[in-house]
Amino acid sequence: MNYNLSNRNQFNDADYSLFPSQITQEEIEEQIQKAPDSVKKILQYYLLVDSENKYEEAKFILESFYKNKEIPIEKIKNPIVYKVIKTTRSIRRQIHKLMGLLRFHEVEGGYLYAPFTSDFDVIIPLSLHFAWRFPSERLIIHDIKREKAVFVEEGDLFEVVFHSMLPSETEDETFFQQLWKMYHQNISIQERENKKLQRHNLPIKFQHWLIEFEKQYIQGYLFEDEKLRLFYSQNGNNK
Amino acid sequence: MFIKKLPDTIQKLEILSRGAKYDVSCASSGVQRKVSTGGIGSTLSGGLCHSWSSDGRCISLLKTLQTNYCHNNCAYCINRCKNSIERTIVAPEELAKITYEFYRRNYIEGLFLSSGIFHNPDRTMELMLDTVKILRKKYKFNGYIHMKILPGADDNAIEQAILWADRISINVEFSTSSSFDLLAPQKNLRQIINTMKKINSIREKLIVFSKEKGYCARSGQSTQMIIGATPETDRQILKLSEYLYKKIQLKRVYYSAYVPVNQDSFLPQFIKPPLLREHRLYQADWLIRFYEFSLDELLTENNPSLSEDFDPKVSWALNHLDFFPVELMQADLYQLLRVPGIGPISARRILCLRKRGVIDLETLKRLGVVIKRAVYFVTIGGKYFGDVKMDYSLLLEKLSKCNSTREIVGDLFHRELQPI
Ligand code: SF4
Repeated sequence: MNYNLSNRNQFNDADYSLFPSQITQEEIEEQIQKAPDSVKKILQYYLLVDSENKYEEAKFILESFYKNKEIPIEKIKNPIVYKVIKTTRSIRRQIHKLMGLLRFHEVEGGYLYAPFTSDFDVIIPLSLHFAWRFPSERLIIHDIKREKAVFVEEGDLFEVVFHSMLPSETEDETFFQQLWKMYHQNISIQERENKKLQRHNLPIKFQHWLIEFEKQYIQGYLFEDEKLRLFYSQNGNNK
Repeated sequence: MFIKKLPDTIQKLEILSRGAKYDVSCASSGVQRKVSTGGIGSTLSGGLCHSWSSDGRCISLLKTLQTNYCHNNCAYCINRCKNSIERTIVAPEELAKITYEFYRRNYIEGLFLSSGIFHNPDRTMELMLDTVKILRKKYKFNGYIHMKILPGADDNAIEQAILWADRISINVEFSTSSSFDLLAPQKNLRQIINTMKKINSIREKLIVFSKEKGYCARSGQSTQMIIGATPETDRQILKLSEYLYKKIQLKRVYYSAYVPVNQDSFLPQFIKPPLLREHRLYQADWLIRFYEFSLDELLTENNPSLSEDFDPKVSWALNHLDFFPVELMQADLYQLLRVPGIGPISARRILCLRKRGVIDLETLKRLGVVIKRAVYFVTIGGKYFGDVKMDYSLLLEKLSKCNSTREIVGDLFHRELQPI
């Protein structure tokens, strides 16, 4: 796929002689992988954002690094660099958060299934984390909003297309969910109750898929959009 | 499995986790480890939170007791033998299974295992060790395990615990012997400190000996102190922390605002947990560990309590106005770290960035500096940007406004805090 630099003046303090003006997205991705850590750290996850200009912006950062030997943080005054750094920071934060917040449901047939939604397209880094952590489990990780799913088996990732409904949850699953919900309520110290702090750490948007908050989302008022609600009414009401 | 049929598993876990929840330690950080072959689980050096309970605290580990039977009678403890509460004990296999099943559903990062003292410390430690060993060996569990050492446990039990756990802790609870005599006559301060020292030396030996292999409590040792149940001053509390960090290399000291669980004439009744005081202690603790402050700078014999109105760094700055303004284009790390609103990360970023050109307020903000506090204590290229003069009473007024609004008290158990 060819990529044209449409809006040049935005990027006017870089030198374009280093990369040809027609450079493919794949080539940019390759360049990112080859870049030193200080640049890679900023750009590697940046491409997970849904933004039209992301390749252009990535290219800009790569070029100003190779030309002036400036690591991105040193150019934080530049609006593009700042935007990229800031966005990457939120993407990393969200990946980290979701690593803790995905909930796997054991379904018949020996699979563990985890649905989630997120602001960025983070299913691959998330799946890698769980592939490393649970190498002997068979996992299905499902980004509901983007309608993408990944199947993980023995550390390998495969793309999944759903043709049928998921199998139902196992008997064990019901039991451990019940046990976990009890634990979650029980561990709170009443005298210290602080819902504001809880929401600060665990914004409502993350609570949808947590079984310990289920009661709230079954009532329906927390759903961001119709798609989510629909998905849940089709697939989730067997609980 | 036998476990499914037992509704009393739920009941047991309810009783045992209720008994464990007053221990505030929750970190799952400090070791980075990959999964073992054929096993399950890994750890991340930064730790990972899996949920938050309605008191706002993070849930990272399954925190529970092996048993809440206890032959001791510590006045502040819900499990003391005098209390008539439901008692139970969980079998090692059963607890290991629960941990494993929670872990593979990604509810938790691992296990935090404590216990009351059933018969004697060694017998109880044996049960706890069985749980941990079943997890490690049978389930090939490679996630995080935090294990308590019970006061009075023998060397062998301590060694075994270190071998199989990632973090070890024993709670000192109070910083003076007199509090122990009053509230926990079966324990004493010296004995607990000695146990900590012993843990430290055994751990170091095991790490050298085992090279890369084994768990060896690599994430170190932590402890907890109860705040507000006894008359100790902030200075006394932090003095002990400073000693523990410097002399026994503790990784973390947790402060736990006292929650009155028992009616006892030696204890304050009907008080609200002193959360703000707890918060200030964490801030001071952070200043000592990451900001190169010494305790004597923050508190003196004559002034042994932290201010409630200001965080300890702002208090220090207001009383040392002659130290300021700090010139950002020239200051060294030590000076930068003294500025309210600049944290260790932003300080290092400033050092790296100023070589490349002039720093301005907008840049500082982008680097993570809290401008509304820092602005009164710095100059940039000789220019001062505060809207009032650097004068004690004017600053007092300005800072008391911006201080209280955004602070969220009670969030320092786990995460790195915002720059102070
Ligand atoms: S020994 Fe521990 S469990 Fe027993 S009463 Fe004292 S603090 Fe509570």
